[in-house]
Amino acid sequence: MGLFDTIFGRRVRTGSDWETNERILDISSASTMLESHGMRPIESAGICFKPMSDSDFERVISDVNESMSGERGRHKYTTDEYGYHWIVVYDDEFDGLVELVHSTVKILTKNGFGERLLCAVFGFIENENRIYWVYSYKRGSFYPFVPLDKKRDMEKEVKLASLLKEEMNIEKDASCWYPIWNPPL
Amino acid sequence: MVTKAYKKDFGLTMRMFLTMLLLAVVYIGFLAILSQFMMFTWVLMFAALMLFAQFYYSDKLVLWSMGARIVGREEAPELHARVEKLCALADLPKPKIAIVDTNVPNAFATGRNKKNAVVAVTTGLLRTLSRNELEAVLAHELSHIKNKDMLVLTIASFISMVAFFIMRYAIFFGIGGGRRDNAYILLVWVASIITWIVSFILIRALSRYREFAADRGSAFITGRPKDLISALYKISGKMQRIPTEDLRKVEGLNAFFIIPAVSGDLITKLFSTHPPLEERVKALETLEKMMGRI
Repeated sequence: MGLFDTIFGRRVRTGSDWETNERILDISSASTMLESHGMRPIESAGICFKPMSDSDFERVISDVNESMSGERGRHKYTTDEYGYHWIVVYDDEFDGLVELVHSTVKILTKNGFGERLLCAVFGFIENENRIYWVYSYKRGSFYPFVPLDKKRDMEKEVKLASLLKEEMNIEKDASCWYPIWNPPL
Repeated sequence: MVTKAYKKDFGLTMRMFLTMLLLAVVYIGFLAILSQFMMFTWVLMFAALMLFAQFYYSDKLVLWSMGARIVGREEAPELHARVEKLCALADLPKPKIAIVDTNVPNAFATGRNKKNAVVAVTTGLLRTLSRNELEAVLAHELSHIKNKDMLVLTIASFISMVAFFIMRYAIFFGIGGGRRDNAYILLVWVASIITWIVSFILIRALSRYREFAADRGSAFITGRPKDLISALYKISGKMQRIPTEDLRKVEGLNAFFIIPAVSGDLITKLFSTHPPLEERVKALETLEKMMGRI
């Protein structure tokens, strides 16, 4: 994304841009750092889609089931209170989990659902509290989300973001750090 | 005790020196061109007068433009007590204390010298910060006073202001002149533009270095760089920008996000008066480690 994209108005991105989406893999190495700071990854991660017709969602399910039949990871499907669809994948090894999310998304993009992708969410636990890392497919960047009761612990989020800014592409514009309340992880 | 722990940051001193040196070179070059033309002497005098007035009345001007109100001891006893304690540690006469009624957490110091200094805090700051964090911020502002930042930056901006005036109003100098005069004026005008742009960037750099120095000052006065770090996080504005609406809700409202057209890191870096939060935190963390060893 450079000057020419600005001049020619090409800065609006969708989930079909693969070069940027490889950035999601950075969370593998970032997790090592998080673990050294006392945050341990949880065994599931979610891929969130914008609402789509039932027939489309059935196609997504069959595409994913077909390609995952040989994989060792488990997965499930769910729809949340906003009408958004989730594919939740499980793996007790974090690197495997990231790889699983990535390969799942790859299949979906190949089958033309890239435009419907919203985000992927990874979870960590620190002293019983959950810390989420949200990957936005539109912006190709990560941002933290730390719920604290019904609010968010913004101080913690800002600290986490600066802790990991070398490890991964952190969303610089904090006004885009939209929370994902109660992700089904 | 405080002064013993004070170790000079050689890198910072060097960067400040280099910036001032570069600024001096640019200014001398500009003045050399300017001195060829008598008609610009009055611009110099006018700028000097303006800047001096601005500097001399800086306490009143800034308070007035920010809507700050001087508060007495009876109105804000705790704030007064805190500033007194810090002044004793920093070896400064006690400045006047002002409060700005706004939710944005912020603080600033102004005034031509130690005796006429004012430290102002916003009501948002008083609400947001813990006691220790507030002390760290106050100590940062007191360090600005102690380091005479107002004076340094005023002097540094003098020729830049002259260049700005000429850049802006050069057209009026040309009226009635011959073709030769006009050619000279064009030369001076171009020189002014270059001087103004270069000095603007240099002054901003100097301002950022003074911020680092004030951060260090705060750390040495309070002995607790950690408090300033957490205060900086709270007032960085980053937290104010973090939204609370759910992504799914927002996504439903907007078909797509718009990425701001100007996202150049370098540009924002060069033009800002304060260093980025991360760099300030990093410098303070280094200081924290260093102080831990003493």
